[in-house]
Parts: sequence; C-alpha cells; structure tokens
Amino acid sequence: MTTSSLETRSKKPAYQILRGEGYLTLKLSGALDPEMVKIFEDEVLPELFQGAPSHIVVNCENLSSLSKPWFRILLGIVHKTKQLNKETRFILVSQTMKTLFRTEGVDKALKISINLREALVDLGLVTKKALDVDFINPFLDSTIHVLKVQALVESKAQKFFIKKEKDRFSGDISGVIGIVSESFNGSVVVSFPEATFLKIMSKMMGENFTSITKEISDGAAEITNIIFGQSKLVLNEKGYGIKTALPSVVTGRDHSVLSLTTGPVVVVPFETEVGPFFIEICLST
Amino acid sequence: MNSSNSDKKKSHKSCTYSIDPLIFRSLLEAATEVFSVQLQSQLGFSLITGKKNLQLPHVDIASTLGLVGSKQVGMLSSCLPASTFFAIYERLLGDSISKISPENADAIAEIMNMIFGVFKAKVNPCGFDFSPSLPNIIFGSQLDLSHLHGPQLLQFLCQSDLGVFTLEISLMEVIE
Repeated sequence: MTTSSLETRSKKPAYQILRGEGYLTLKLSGALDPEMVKIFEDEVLPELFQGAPSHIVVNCENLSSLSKPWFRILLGIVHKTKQLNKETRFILVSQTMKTLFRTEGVDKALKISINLREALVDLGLVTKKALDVDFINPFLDSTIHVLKVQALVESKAQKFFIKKEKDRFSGDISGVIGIVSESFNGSVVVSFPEATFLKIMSKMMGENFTSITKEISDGAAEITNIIFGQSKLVLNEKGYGIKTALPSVVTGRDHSVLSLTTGPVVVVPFETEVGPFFIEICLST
Repeated sequence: MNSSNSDKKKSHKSCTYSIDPLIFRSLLEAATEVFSVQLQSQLGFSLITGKKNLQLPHVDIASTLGLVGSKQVGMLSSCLPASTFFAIYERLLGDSISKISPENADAIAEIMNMIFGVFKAKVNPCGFDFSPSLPNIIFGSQLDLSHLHGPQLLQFLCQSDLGVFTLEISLMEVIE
C-alpha cells in the first residue's frame, strides 16, 4: 500500500490514500469544513483517480463532522467511480453520520459497508467464509512471536478446531479479553495449566516460580494483552476495525471459561517446550 | 482483587486513570434495577476498593464483560459464591440447582448482559459510547479474578436476600 497525506493546518482536509489490491481506501479525518472543498477538488480528487481504475472505499472512522458542500464531493466520487465501472463503499460510518446521510437524502447513493472486510466482500474482492482463517491466523502468529520474544519459549500451534457444545477445556490461569468491532463482538481467552504458566513466567522474569502468586498472575493478562495487541494491528490492517476492552486474569485450579455466544468458538491448542496451553477465540455477529 | 501495580502504570504512559462518578453510580443503579425487576430482590452495596483485611466471599463462578468506547475501555465483572449463584438461578428460572455446570452457568452472563443493558441506557446518552464484548463465564473452585490496570478499579460488595457477591468495574481512558 502507498500513502499520501495533507496536514490539517490552514484549513486543508486531513486525508490519507491507501492502495490495496483492486481497491483504494480514502481515509478522511476530522471536521470537513466548506472551505476545504476547493483544495480537495484541486489536489485530492486527481490523485484519487490517477492510474488504473479501482474500487474506492471511503473510511469515515475518524471523521468528526461533514458540512453540506462535502456531499457534492462524495457523490462526485461515487459517480466518477461508477463511470469507470467500479464501485464506492463507505465504511466505519458513525451513527451520527448515518443519520446525516439519511437526513440529507444521500443514504441510497452513499453505500455503507460495516468495515473494510465487509466492503471487500460487497465489492466481490474477497469471499466470505464460515470460518474466517484470516481472522484466526494473526492470533497464532502473534502468540508464537510473543512467547518467543518475551519468554524465549518456542511454541507450535496445533490444528485448530471449532469447539463443540460438550467440549470442555480447563486451565489453572487464564487471561480474558473482550473485543468489539462494528460488525461483531467477541472474546479471546488464553488458558494455561499451572506448570506451563510457571515455566513461562520463570523464563520471562529470570526467576524460578513454583506457585501462582498475585505478583505473577498478572503476567497472564499481560501476555493476553500483548498477543491481542499484535493481532489487532494485523487484523485492523485487513480492515476488521477491532477495538479491545481491558483484560482480566482468572486463577483457580481446573477452571473452565465459557462464552455466551451463538457463534463459533475456535480452539487453538499450542505445544511448547514447557508444556501445552490453548487459546479460545469466540465471535458473535 | 489485585488493585495496584506500578510497573503496569509505567507501561501505559499514554493513559490516564479515572472513573467518572456517573459511571459507577449508573452501574449500581443498573444492578439494583435488574435485581429488583428480574429477581425481586433489593441490593445493598459497599465500596471495598482499597479496604484491607476484608473477608470477601469465595468465588465459584464469575462473569466478565468487556467495555469498549471511543474514549474509555474497561471491564465489568461479577464474582459469586455457589450459594448466591444457586439462589439467583432459582429466582430467575424457577429451577433448583446444586451444582454449577456448563448447562446452567450461562445464567450469570445473562444477568451481566441485563445489567450492562440498563447501564448503557443510563450512561451512553450522557456522552459515552460503550459497547459490550461477549460475556465470558468462568467457573471452578477458589477462583480469583483480577483486572489489569488495577488503579482504576472499583469493587463493590453486594448484598441481598439471595446472598453476597462482588461487582467490579475497571476503566482506562484512551488518549489517541
């Protein structure tokens, strides 16, 4: 992807153009005032339509307000894209902005997709899968990376599977973190047997731990937090638009963690040199 | 509950710590309303954050719910002994149970969802935009639940005719 941008100083619109495969994302930020229209028409629109025609995704996540003259610009982008036999989608549109689209009567013309992922599905650039491997893989990669970097522990993900209703997996210490996006919410649980966790923490802290204490139990939440933080970066680059809650950590021998969901719960077992552990990823649309 | 960790403060320099009184008052009002309407039970609260040497109820089941807003993120949780859970379950669903199992444990998450629903209706019109993650239920013996970012944690001991339990909320302001 390539990027270009203008600063918000001297009433210039803040924007970013990101080039993807078969599409182009126009990220608009801040308050788009009437006096910014001219400069946008002169400087940004030509850049937007240079090169081979592509679908356009307008990312409204950081858009705080939109003055009426901007609707002409947005409708112009939709129209121009259509002339090129391509389509435009607006993503991460706030409720306020959706209401504005409706009251201005442009909601039919400015087509909204929930997030980039959904937009790419709507534009026919990717196919929707029942189990989204693109969503799971970043968790696998970052778990392996985090344990390697933070604790010098080599780990290997085993084949992941959908948890059945009767499947029960228990751990002695678990980090739990909630996730929210425009199109789904969910949770991620990293659950360790005591022996595995103690060995990981001993390697991480350079000290030999023989029991789970308050001092080291937060390590599970920290590991969950770091794993999730890295996964989030990758997933949001792919357009999932994920936001995270704060993690919590639970200790207690052989506890089980359930999620209140009708969606799939994906279990990823890991094997390491210091013992097994597992991750549960739960999503609900 | 673990409520202090200076190292964590250091690793989150981009964050500030505070809980708006509106938020925790709304949470307590929401819990009171849900217990009153759904369980016909009157709740009493006492703030126990920072109080030492308290005899807290042991925890057999807990529920967590992530809170995500554009300005703040956090976690809502509730920790219960089995006796309180059994009483709540019976009052809510009319069935008597004597063991926590995967088949009945989700009742506590439903209560948490209801509390969040009322809480959200109270705080979001006041400038917040909290969305919930999926609730999780944890059950086992001698559980201990702690939130990351302890300094912004508020923990309440809740008492009713159904028994005692704790309700916790932790929040962190997100500065872009």
